[in-house]
Amino acid sequence: MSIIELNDVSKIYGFGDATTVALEEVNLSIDENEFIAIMGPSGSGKSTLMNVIGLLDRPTYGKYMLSKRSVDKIRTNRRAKIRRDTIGFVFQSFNLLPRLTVIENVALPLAYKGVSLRLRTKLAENMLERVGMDDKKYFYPNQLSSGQIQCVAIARALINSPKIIIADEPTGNLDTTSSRLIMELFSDIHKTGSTVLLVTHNPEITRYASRVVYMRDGSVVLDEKSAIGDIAETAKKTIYKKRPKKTIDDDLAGISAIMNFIPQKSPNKKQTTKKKTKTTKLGKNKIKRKK
Amino acid sequence: MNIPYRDDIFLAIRTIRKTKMRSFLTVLGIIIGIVSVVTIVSIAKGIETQVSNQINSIGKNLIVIRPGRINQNNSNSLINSLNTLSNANSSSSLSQADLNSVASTGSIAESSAINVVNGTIKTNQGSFSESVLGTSNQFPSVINQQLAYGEYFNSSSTDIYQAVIGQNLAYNLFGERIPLGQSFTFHGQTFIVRGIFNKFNAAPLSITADYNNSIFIPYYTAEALTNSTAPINEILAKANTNNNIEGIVKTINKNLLTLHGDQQDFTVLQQSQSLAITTSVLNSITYLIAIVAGISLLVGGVGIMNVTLVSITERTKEIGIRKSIGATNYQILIQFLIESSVLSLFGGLLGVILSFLVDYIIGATTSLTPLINLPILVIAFLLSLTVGIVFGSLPAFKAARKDPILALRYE
Repeated sequence: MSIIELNDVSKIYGFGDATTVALEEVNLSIDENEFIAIMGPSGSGKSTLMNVIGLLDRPTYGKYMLSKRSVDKIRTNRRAKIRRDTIGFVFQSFNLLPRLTVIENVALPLAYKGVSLRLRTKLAENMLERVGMDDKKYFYPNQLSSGQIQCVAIARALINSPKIIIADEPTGNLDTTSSRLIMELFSDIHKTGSTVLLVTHNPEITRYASRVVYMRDGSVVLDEKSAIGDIAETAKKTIYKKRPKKTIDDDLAGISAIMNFIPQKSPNKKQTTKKKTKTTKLGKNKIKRKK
Repeated sequence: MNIPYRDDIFLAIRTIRKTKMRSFLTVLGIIIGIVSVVTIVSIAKGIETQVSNQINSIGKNLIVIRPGRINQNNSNSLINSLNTLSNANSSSSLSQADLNSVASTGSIAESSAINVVNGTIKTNQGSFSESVLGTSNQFPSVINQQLAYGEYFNSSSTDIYQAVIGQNLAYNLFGERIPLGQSFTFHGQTFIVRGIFNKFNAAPLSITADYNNSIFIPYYTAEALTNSTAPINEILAKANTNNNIEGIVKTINKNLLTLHGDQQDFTVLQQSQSLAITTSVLNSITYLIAIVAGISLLVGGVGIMNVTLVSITERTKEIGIRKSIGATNYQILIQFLIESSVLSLFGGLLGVILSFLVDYIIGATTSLTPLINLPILVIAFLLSLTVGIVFGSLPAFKAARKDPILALRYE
């Protein structure tokens, strides 16, 4: 059952001679509980597509059906409410409000919904626990590392239990370890039944996706199914460095296979590694398993 | 429509606390505006209270006959009020005959003319020019005022060169608190101080002389000193009843008209009316000045608008983020309106605190007793709130209408 359906959607910026075609007759149908990675070079219209799907932008032409309902002619305020209730955004630059604490940031979408302060705080605490950030709830964003900030941003995107999570290069500003943690979070979200749309430049990320959409010059050029745990076939071609051989262990680890490709840190740095991985449930499991 | 009002208010307060200096400078205009308006209105309020105290202490049955014609019609309009003042100060048309006529009117228990003698007073402390008033021996009871020390002169006394002084003069003229028996020279005669009045409930800016700074001498002495040329400033008459004062006023007016050959060159008033005129003049002036002072509130409002506009540009990204997580335009609008309102209310609060201080200083250094009461505080509160909303609305509308995508991209 398709939750998102785009029919000949075009987006054109500017007027007269100075027009830019950001999206050109994009047709895309996304089913519930898909994990879609969107790849493509800069300027290929990935972000515009995300903005259109996320109801931040209106297509110039074409039809957009969200949950089988046309949302093209809906007024701005109504769109804001749909956005609030059904879509969660995660950005490359995190976009937490610097003047609010972690828990206030997470609870903000609930505030706009009109949820009482007490319930809001409780829900936000639960959500922070889920992403492993409950011990940092009274911190301000500038007191956290970028990986932690992204965890908080994901918690904020999830707080309204949205059907769709839109992530625009969520790991773009993160180091490999944090990227892995964040991707595991997305994988968890996907498992709980949400539809995840994720823009990325990194072929490794396509391991988590069930489907990869390639874009170029505003059009979808390729749409391929991909097994979770494997790098998508086309994406593989963009990897230049030689990859280590796959072992049986990797298959067993499933979606966590990517972890094995990351070299272990030297023993004297182990302390810091522990601290970082401790913050998520998954990290804890990993440490236990090693012992 | 769900609006996190409370969060917005707390956030706005937190912002002010974090950026104290900036917030203070932003609301400086509001502070100055509120201080000026509150101070001026509170001074007027204080005077009004003093006047009504004076009416109460004198008694409602006091009738005042003044020279000149006071137009009481349309006394609400400012121009007329100002004319009233100048008329009241015109030279006297009252005479001894008028006094006799008033005194012989039925229902009048006691009466006293007041005439003003100009001249210089010499004491052992130096020379002074204070107002010297000739009054009859009934004067204290006519105006309902007790003497603090000594006694008022009586008509049977053979010594006509005696005086009673207002409380403020005791120390000024003689350098001591109770200068009974002290003497001063006036028009070549030596006067002995026989009594000192209690402090009068003086109303500032009132037409009557400031009794606390006056010297009272017997009426016949004043006549003698000036060969009966001293103008009669006013005639005070006290009715023996509190009822139908207006009827008595009419009777006196009629009698005096006959004496003056049908010329209405005098005015007969109840004391309360006479004070009411003072108050209405004062009110007109006060509210005019208050409006002028309120202009500085406009300047303050523009200051707030300016800073809010800058802050909205600074916080474009924040607006984009808020919209992306589901804030409606209306919610953004309310957020910024609340922010500017809290800011200007903060200015109003500082302004009110400062005006208490200013009023205290005014009260301590002048004879005015400014009065800040609840209505004034409510006015100050509403004024600053209005300024915040009016001048915050343009930036808030601008913020609400920002395109979320452009706003998100803003660095």
